[in-house]
Amino acid sequence: MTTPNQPTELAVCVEGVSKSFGDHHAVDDVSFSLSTGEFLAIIGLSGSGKSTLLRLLNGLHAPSCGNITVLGTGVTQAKGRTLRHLRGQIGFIFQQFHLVGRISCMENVLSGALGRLRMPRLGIGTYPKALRHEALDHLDRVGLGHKAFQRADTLSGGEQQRVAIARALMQQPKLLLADEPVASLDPESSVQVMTILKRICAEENLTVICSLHQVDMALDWAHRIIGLRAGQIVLDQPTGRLDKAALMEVYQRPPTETVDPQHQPSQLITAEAQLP
Amino acid sequence: MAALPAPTSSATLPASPPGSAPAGGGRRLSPPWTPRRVIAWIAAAGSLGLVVVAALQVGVEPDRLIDGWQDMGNLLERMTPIEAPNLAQLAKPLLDTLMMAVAGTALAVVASVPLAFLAAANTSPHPAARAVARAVILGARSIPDLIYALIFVRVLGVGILPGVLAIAVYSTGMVGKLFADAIEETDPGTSQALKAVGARRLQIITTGVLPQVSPSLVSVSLYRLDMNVTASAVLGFVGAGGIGFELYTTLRTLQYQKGLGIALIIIALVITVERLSAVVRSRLTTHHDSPSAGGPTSRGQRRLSAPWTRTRVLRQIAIIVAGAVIIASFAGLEISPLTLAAAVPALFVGLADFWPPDFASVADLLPAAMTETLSIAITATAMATLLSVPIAAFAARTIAPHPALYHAARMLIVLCRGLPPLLLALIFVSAFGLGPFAGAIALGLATIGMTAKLMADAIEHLDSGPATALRAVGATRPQQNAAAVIPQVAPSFVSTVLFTLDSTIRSSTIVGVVGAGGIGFITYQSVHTLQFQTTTAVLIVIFTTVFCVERAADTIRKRIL
Repeated sequence: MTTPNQPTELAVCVEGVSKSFGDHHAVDDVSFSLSTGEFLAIIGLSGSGKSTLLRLLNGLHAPSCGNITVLGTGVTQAKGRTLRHLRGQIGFIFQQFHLVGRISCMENVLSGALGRLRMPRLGIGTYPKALRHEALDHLDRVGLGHKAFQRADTLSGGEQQRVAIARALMQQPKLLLADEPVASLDPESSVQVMTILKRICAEENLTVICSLHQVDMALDWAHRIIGLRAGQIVLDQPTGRLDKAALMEVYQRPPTETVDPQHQPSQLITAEAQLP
Repeated sequence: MAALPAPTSSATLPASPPGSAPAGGGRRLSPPWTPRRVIAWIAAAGSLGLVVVAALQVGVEPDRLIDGWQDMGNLLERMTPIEAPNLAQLAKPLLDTLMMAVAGTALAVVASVPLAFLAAANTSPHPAARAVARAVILGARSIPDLIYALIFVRVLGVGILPGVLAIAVYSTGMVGKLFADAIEETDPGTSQALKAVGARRLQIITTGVLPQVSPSLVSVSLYRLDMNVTASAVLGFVGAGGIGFELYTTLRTLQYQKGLGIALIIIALVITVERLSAVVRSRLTTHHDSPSAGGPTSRGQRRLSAPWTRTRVLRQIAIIVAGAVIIASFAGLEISPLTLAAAVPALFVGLADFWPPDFASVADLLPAAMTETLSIAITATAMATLLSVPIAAFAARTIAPHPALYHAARMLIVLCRGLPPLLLALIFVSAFGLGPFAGAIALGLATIGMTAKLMADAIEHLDSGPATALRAVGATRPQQNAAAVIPQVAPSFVSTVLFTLDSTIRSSTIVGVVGAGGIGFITYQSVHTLQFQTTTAVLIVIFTTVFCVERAADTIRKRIL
């Protein structure tokens, strides 16, 4: 499957990538590739390397070894303006939204255009009018046009994540990376956010990589699922042909971990409960 | 507000045509003028106007600034080469300065702890007790330590004891407030749990509250100690002991080369203590105990007391060392409990002369003097802010463009913090001549250490998430700083500026003692000519001003944060 022969067709190509922080191998020899328009979900326990993998893709982390090509650009080699230009094409949704709470939703959305602008900006008035129209349109698309001038920290979690999605849209991205986009939200907002995300991705024909810890959500939304355990890929299948046994393996504790006899072996229960 | 970058740029815009407004056309593209926004702009314009008026009153004009540079150059010429000070001769007053700070701080801490528990809403036994304790704390900190020293020297005679007492009284006000705040911020759940168990009020305080506040008590005390070393270095200016006396006489007799030598030694002493206190304070907040500590002993018997971990041993050693230093300081200064017991009644007897206040004799001088004091404080605050923002940007690890710049900026901050305001005022009076100009410049420089440090720390403590998000958007570093850092840090910057104003107001009431303008000169004159009732009148004016400014600053701070 991983044949880097047709880079134009592939949105993402990851070859033998590892990333360690000190002694800890967060991502361990990972390879996969993704065609344009695909919706990929990455699942795994917390600490299995999902976030690190996503941050490697837009160069927020540099890999310890291996090669990453995104949208035809080598992330590993990219620096300065090239890297900023590449990041400008990749939307990134964070679990904690990472909005500036004290400024308006509108200004937060506008900040998504910074990659296309040259000067530093402070205040809505410093952005060109055309961009402000665009920002309002994106806020409309996530259903928050009426709250454009409200301070971001006055919004609920689900609304803040929708503002963050509008900010990503402002980048006019070709690839969207979402790191546990609904992990801090209540079930109702989660569905709302995921629905909006899915609709917009379909409208824009966006390629999406989304890490999730809810297996049922991954099955509902994604075309394909990659399971990470201890930084390694233990599962890579289209959603339609997924077998349960392989899914279980994702949620097994890594064998290297010492088991404390005083603790009950409960780690399987959570994964079991999440299966549809 | 800082000047905004020009909105027009040659950046590539999206292909959307100019008239692409959605149906209806007239959508808002700029934020509406909410009352909050209007008030913010009025406040900003008002502050700017105030700064301009104050600066003009103090005499900050372009040609004055240019002349000032030349005056500074002349003074530096007269000060160099620095005459190496006679260390053997200075050792005693230096040690005295240090011991005065330790003894004064220790007395203040002892007095503040009960006061703070009485003053904190959640531990006070009765509203009346709370009101009294709060009034004592407020009164104590509303008059600067140097003025206490000035008065105590008159009542008790020239010497070290009035200096120690001056530090103790003022610090009681400062430390007491911070202690009370720390107590009020403790988790009420703990106290409720203990109340549910059936604990008495005092038991709740010792078991529930004290363990929660003790780290901040120690940290506040250490911080006060290093502030007090700065203060005690200049108390000698008014005859309250320590190295300040040597410096004052040297500079007054125009021995500038020798004077600069002494000044540098004072600065070195202050910086040393500041560093030491900073290291201890940072140690306090980090724990290195392994989680396994506390299991059963090897012989199978169960431990009934906490094990002697490294942290615990170090803590005990620190307590013993601190106690020894405090006792040694009192012994070295020859202050015994008996001396203190005798001094307090003597003080009260002497202070009887200060009542009733006599406003009439200074009524024609006070308004102008107080206006000048305020102008000095406002000008100094504006100057400190202007200089501190760029220093802070370099001194914040998270946004510093280069590690070398970071270290340089941090070094500059430590250096500025070692400058006693009154010492700088004395030096600038020598350079620029008597008057508020010297006072304002001196205070502005002396405050940078504190202001820039608070600002840099505020930047470092910001949530890095939004900046990361903008990095992921492809924004440059300056873009990230403008769009993510500035909006986030703005309220704490405003708060820092207010805090700076609060501190410069206090200092601006004393720089007059060395002729650098403001109400301090009247205070000094009235004490020296034994018109004590006039002194009281001046003090009431100072107290009221300091109180009002502190109140106003507190209110604004609470509203914006």
